[in-house]
Amino acid sequence: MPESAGAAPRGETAIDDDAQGLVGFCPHCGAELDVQSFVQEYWTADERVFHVWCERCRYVFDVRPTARVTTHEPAHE
Amino acid sequence: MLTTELNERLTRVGPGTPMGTLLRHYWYPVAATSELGPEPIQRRLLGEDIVLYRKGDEIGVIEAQCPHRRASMRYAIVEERGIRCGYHGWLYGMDGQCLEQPAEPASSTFKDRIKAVTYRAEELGGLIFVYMGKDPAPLLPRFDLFVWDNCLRDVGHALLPMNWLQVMENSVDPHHVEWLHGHYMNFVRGISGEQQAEVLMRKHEKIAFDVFDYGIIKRRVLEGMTEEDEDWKVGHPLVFPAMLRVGGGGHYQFQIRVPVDDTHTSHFWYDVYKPDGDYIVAPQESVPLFEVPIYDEKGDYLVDFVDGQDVMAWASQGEIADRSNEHLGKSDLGVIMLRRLFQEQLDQVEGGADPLGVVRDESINDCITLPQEKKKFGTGAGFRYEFLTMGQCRYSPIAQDVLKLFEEAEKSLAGGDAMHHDASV
Ligand code: FES
Ligand SMILES: [Fe+2]
Ligand SMILES: [Zn+2]
Repeated sequence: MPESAGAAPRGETAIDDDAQGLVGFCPHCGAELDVQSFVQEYWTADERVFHVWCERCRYVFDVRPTARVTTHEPAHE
Repeated sequence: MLTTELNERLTRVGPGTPMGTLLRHYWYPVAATSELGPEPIQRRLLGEDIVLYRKGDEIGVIEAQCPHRRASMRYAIVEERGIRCGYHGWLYGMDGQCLEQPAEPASSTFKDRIKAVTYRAEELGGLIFVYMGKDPAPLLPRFDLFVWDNCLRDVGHALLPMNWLQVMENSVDPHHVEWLHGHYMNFVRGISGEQQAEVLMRKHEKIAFDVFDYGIIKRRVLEGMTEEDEDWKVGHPLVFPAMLRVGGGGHYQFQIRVPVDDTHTSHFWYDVYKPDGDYIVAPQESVPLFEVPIYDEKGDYLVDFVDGQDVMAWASQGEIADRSNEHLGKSDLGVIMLRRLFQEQLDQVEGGADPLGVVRDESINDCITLPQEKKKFGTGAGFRYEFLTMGQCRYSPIAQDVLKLFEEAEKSLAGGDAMHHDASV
């Protein structure tokens, strides 16, 4: 294939931003999550999850940016 | 998605790279024993070109390019004291020390200041393994399949055009089996009117991954099975960092994914056939090696058998998969766990410790037994049938001997205790 300039088009996917750097710091110890740590995005249904391992404090987390909090309504007395 | 930076860190294997350093803690097969005769052979491992030669009972490994003027040591003379470059006759001992430079003045001490890079090699189970890391070298792990007796072995091989990590990720991706080797297989076989696969089609209901001493154990519950079945109770392991153990019904296999360089993987399918039953197998003179074809005559991937389908899936992701452009879901948690495990082990190595599965204790190294289900996918023989006819084994030069062995073993069981007989056949 001939070399050409410019980025290839992307289809419509769940991602409309560049996920790089969305979870920049460890929620536990505050260390910067650089390339020595592990940040991996995945999706469960319409929920976006970042699976995180912090190289400094060794914690493993799932970070879920939350746009809307939903809950059930308890039965009224 | 994964960041481009992290993707680089997890995939690159050359000298001095983080992953290259981690991977240099392990031994890798680079050839079958039968491939190394009186003439040296050349291979690439972890981005470095090396030449192997046999000197008596020992195997020497030396950098491929002669330190003099860079001719290949593949075309060298093997002698009593080492290996002599075919171009101008510089002689190197097994430790790489230059011993002779025939064209230099007799009084020259130039040779004393030349030392070639050398590595260590050992033979086990019909394969030649090389270690390229720091001293002291760990033990070459004597995994069960390499040391068992009373069995038949063969080794399939293919040089694959992609990064090794794509191959390893497939080993923690159980869902692909029902699709790639079930539905897709039947699509392809349907077009050519071939027999349909059944066993491999079954739907996955539950999967789990546990880290253990030598890697990750993979478990599955398929439709109609329970957690009492061996696929869940026993499972089978990804052997860290570059091997898969799989099989069932008397067929055992290591798939060894040797990182050749960033964009090539040397793949060995190391098969052991050892069905339950009463029989005696004479030791094989040598373990037969055969090439597994991966392309058809048009240059497309051969996708009418299990291993060809796997190769298609690994290779068609590209030389190094662009993980910054992927979309992982919940069913990819095994892949995520493997990447995290690599990242944790990179950190461990940077801290100066041995990574997972490095063996230094002689007392455990007589035979390291790995867990593996026998009644694979709830059956033995059904799985074995599809595996033998729809896997790379179909190219084995000893396929007929293998089938005979299975028949003999089955007969011996039928004549004896009927309890052993596999009712699902
Ligand atoms: S559905 Fe998984 S790679 Fe296409
Ligand atoms: Fe597969
Ligand atoms: Zn932290």
